[in-house]
Amino acid sequence: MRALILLECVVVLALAGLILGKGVPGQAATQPDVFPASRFLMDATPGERVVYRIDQGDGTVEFNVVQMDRGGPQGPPKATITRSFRDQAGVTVAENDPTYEHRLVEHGLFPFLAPAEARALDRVWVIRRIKRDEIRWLGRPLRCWRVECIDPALDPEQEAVVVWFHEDVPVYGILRWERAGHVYECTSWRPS
Amino acid sequence: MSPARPSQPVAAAPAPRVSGGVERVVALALAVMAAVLGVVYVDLVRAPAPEPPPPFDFVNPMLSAHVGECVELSAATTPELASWLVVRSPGVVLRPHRGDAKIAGWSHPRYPDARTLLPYLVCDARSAPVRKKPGAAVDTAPPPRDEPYLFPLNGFGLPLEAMGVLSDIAPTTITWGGQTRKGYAVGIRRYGQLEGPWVLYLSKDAPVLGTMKRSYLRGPGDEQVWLFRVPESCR
Repeated sequence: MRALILLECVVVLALAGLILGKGVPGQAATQPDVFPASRFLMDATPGERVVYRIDQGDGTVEFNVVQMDRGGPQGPPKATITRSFRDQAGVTVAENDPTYEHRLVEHGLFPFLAPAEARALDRVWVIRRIKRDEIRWLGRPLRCWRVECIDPALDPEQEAVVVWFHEDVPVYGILRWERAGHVYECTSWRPS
Repeated sequence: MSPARPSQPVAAAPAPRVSGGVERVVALALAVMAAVLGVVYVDLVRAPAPEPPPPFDFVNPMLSAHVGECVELSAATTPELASWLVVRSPGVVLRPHRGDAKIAGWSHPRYPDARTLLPYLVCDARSAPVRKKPGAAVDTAPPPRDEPYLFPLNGFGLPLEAMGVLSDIAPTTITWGGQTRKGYAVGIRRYGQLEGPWVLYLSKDAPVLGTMKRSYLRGPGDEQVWLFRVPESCR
């Protein structure tokens, strides 16, 4: 009798384990994707940096977060960011205005690539479409977000910009972007 | 002087019978549990695979706005006091720097030169006729003048003065115009006036701003809602 009880215990535990392992039917499959915008620039911290290679080594552009104000009663959030371009030899290209204030309400998710001009907000890329995507990153597939935009600073035939986001990439959360025939690819971050 | 004599009967002699009865009950209970769990497991295995959620594909609805398109907006608490938003020419302005420095009827102290604005859509807001009960007196007052509003193309349907920081975008379903539609709930955090979390329910099927509903959570349990609908005419 005791052997039977033992056997039944094993069966009950095994079935319970199988049921728990299976979970609520389709729970994982029906979990919708959420575009996590607050996990990009909004959660950057001072000292964060990211480096992008331009094309296949025509130079680099680096962004550093100097200050981060997350906003509140004192006003909307803003980040002070330093941008530095380097040529193929690694020499910094002189820029008039290497440090700019990224105002998250007006400037949104995307970096500024040109020196700031007073209130030149028409350089902010306009979101056209956001989709899930999977790209090859360091030889492995990586699930990320593909954001198609319009750069109003470019002529209509060149205006399309594509940006790939991943929430773990520092500063803007941007893995890669393609703009005006150039590819900017993050070289300072690896998926864990 | 030994306390127990081997020849004496053991005091717990009937115990095996009681124990045997308990064991049978336990075995029976476990058998029932196993059977129930077995049925649940078979049911789980046989359950049809649920439909996967539709792929995330958010399209900015404001980019499809056309001149003359119109939508009606009202607070959920006062649906009789509605406004119409009508897209004004030239419609979507992607390159403000190539346009005029002034927008007719619109001015803002922070943006004296319209050529430096964020890309936008300009709409005229006008009061919708008050929906009166049959037999009520006809309102003979002249209609108020149109008032232009600028809606930045990255603002998810909020006007320039009310823009916030994008928090997240999640697919959702919403009943709008009597139909259940798939759309997106866009979470925004506003600062300054009406500060706090906002949710904007957008669909590419909704005209003008793509907005079906706006919701502002002023505090726990205190939600302010604005509803959009397509009127028969905006004339």
